Amino acid sequence: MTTDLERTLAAALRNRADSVPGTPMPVLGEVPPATPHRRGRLLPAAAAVVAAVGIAGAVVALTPDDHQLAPPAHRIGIPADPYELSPGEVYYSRSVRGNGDDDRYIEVEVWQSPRRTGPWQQHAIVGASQRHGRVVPDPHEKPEDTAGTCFPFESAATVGCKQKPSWPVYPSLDFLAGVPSEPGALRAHLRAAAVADAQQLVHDGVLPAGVALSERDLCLRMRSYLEQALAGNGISPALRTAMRKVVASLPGTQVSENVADRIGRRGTGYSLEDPATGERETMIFAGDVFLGTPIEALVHGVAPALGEPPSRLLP
Amino acid sequence: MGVQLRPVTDAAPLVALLERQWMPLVRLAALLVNDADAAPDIVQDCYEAVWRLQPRVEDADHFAAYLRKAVLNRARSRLRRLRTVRRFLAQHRPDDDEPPADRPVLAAERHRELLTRVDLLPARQREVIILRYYCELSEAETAEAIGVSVGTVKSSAHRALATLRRTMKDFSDDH
Repeated sequence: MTTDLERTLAAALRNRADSVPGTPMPVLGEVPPATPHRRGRLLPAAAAVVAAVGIAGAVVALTPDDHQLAPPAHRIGIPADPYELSPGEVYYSRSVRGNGDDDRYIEVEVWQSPRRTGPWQQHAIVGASQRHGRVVPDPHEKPEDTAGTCFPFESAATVGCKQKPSWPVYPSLDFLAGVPSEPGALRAHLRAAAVADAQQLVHDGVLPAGVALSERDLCLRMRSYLEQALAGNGISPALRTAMRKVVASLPGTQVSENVADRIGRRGTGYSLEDPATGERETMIFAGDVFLGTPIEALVHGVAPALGEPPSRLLP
Repeated sequence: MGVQLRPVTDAAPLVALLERQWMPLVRLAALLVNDADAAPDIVQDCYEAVWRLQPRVEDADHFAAYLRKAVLNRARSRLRRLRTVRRFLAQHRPDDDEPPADRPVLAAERHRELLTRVDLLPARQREVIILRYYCELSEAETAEAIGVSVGTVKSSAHRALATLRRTMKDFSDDH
């Protein structure tokens, strides 16, 4: 803990914690167990965060570093369809993130097996600047390398991996392969998922029976599903096009041109305000390619193996 | 309907461990959901589940980490539900983030303002901040508790601190 902010933060949290009144531990075994929580709700946030941070969108051109590091295409046998993985190949993605008002960038690379329960690997670095879309590592910050199975979870044994994939929980590769790629059908699919999610809350007694979702709440839910999925792998061009059209069609969406992502790529920004927070979230597309947000740039590709430089990047 | 317990010869060690962790976990839950009244229920919910399992605890530290993870999951579940409820009730309830008048308030205005900003962080960033700076867990321990990679913890903490630094002007030059 080195900064004044961190010290103050720790002190403030301790003060708040100390203000919690003491309560005796109840006698265990005498109270009926609480209503079971929906298991599907335990880890979706982990999925969303890891997906948003660790995996990426798409890019329009190889960076110089990628050209330098990528192995020759003929050695790995690139299929005719760049989105089709050859045996042994894995999805590659990269996220460059920074808030823009300080001098820190984080770059997270992820290699993900096409099998849901297959292995994955992640490499994260921190730096004070970026060059050609790549973070220049801070020599004082050690890179973080992690690995697991069943991305974005640590292993196939985790609760998250055992959950049935869905829009709100985690849209796995096999799940995305089965969703409609026609915009109207996709929108209906998303809307049904958002409504079902709310109905489950009614079923659980969290919401009163008969309550109706506002249109904006539905839209925000649908948009969050799309953003999470677009940040991840396994989106076909047809599905991606449909997803952008759904984003653009959500009521209240404002469209701005020439909006830059974190590494300066520019595209069309689709913004929607969450009335509950007052925050305006912007998704940036170049054509149908999801670039990221004003504080994040996303890149998708294919690598010959876990930990290898990408052999091709995908729009 | 009561809880069916397995026959145990001596539950005292488990009870002692649970007793010892009770208030630390209640405080953690209170921070995570920003609701001191709900916190004991969250921890009790976890404890009932543990009690039904009657685990044989050989490593108290690992057991504490397990309990912390369980509390985190329950708090997360509750927050997700509350978030939806708040959206529904937003037009009827002006400010959910303001503490009740009878709740003990923070002495320092600076702390209060900072905590208000912490409350507005995305859920995962809040979790990382609380586990790192209140529980004083390492990045690896925080990652284990949340169930994500260390890289994700690092990036979440960075984003959270950058947001706080941006919104708290007196920390803006602090790195």
